[in-house]
Amino acid sequence: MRVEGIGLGKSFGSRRAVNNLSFTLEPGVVTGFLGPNGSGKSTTLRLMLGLDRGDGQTLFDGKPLTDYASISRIVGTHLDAKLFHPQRTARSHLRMLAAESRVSNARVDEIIEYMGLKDVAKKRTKTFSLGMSQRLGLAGAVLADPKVLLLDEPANGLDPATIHWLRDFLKQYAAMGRSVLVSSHLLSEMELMAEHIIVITKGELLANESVDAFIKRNQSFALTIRVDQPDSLQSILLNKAIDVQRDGDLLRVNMESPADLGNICFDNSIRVWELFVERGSLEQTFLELTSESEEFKIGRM
Amino acid sequence: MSVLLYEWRRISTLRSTWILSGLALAQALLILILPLALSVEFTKNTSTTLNELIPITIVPIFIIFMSTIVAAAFGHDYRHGTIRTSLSLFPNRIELLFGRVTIALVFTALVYIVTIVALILTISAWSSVTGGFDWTTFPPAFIRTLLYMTIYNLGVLAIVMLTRIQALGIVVPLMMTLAVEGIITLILSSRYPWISDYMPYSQGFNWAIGASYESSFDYTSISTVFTSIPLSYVVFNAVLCILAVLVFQRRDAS
Repeated sequence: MRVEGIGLGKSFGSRRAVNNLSFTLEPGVVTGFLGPNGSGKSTTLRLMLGLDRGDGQTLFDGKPLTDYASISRIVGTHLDAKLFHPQRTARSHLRMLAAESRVSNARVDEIIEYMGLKDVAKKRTKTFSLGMSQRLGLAGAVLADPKVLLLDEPANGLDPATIHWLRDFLKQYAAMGRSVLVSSHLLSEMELMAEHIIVITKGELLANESVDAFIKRNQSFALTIRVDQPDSLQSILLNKAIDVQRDGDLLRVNMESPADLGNICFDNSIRVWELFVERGSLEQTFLELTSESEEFKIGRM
Repeated sequence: MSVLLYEWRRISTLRSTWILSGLALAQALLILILPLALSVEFTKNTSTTLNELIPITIVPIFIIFMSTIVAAAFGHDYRHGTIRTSLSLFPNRIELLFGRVTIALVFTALVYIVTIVALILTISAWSSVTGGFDWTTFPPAFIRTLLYMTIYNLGVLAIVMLTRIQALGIVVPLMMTLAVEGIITLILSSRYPWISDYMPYSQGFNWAIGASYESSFDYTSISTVFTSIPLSYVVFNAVLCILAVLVFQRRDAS
């Protein structure tokens, strides 16, 4: 199912939390939703679901959510790890959610087992750890096998094995033709999980492209080289108008092809001791792009 | 409709719903049984009517238990943030509101009926002391109390929806009934002697327990249940409900 956010906007008093945000979630793709704290990610998710009143609209295959009869078969949501009544058991919580789309009790038990919640199914949710709460939230989101998943920080509090499981699960889920939007602060994890990313800062769209394109577009130095004559190579490269930076013995060169750089060294009788492609990470690129627009900056010790 | 099933599962899977219902039933029976067990002459050797029972067993305390269940319908959702879960499933807010109000009111009505049945059975079982149950005035008293409780609970729901604070939904109507309206009457009655007749909660309370606020009123006739509607009480709670629906429709669910 194709999801279109069109001109989403929301103000809290005089502060514009989300400003005219438009994007599309394509079926079969895990889309990462990134932004610094307070950038408007959660507000955007709430706007998409009609939980917050604001500007714009979200269409699910061209129709607003209210036009569908069984919402949880269209969109599954997990907006907060602790959105449960603390006195209700995990099974009761899921059976309650199941009522909306008339999901059977057998399916509830199946999901409980699949999410590894069988041993705690009859326990009250107030006794749950953050990780268990996340699993229960995810169980609720996928209970009716929805065509779209909207998840807000689903990996918070999960142990490494469960994060690994979540990554595989979401990829498989999307591979079945579903649309998945995941907001997360775990950027290294997002790099492995998402094919496409939407980056916002201060409620404005900063990027809406594939992870590879995002990194590549914002990466300034692609090759790192160590040679016997760094001064000579630096001047040769500068003469060719190639951006280069010296970092001790290393030269960081803004070139894409290691072969071209190797040839330059060979032509000028420069011995290459080390040459590697420096692939920028999503985390590094994200931090560079958003460092100026971060709303709640951490002070230095 | 799936919203009704959702709401039924929401209300019925909370332990507090059943504890409060049990306590409501127990207090009504206890108030009735204690004098009987102590062989206190209960009804002057005549048969017991529901008019006599309502002021002591149903209206004062039973309704507080029921209003607590009703207040929790929205109160829990706001306190635990689960209003977002509810509205994610039912983005049509009027649909959710309809389901929630219906189930809350039907549930409390059922507890009320069970309690009344239990009271009648108890009176019948103790007929040597109570003189049995007098069915002649049963319908009007039964319907009056049910209507009073339903309107009261709608007001409770409206206050919780407006303030998002569960406790206020329980306390405000209670304080209005017990203190606030009395104080207002005390202050203003010398200037406006009619004011006590128009205090909404006092009017509703008197109507429910069969106390006369119109001296000529016949509380034993079923037709007067509808001709004697306590207008201030109804209008006051209707206004609260309209405001609550408007606010609920427009406000963020966070």
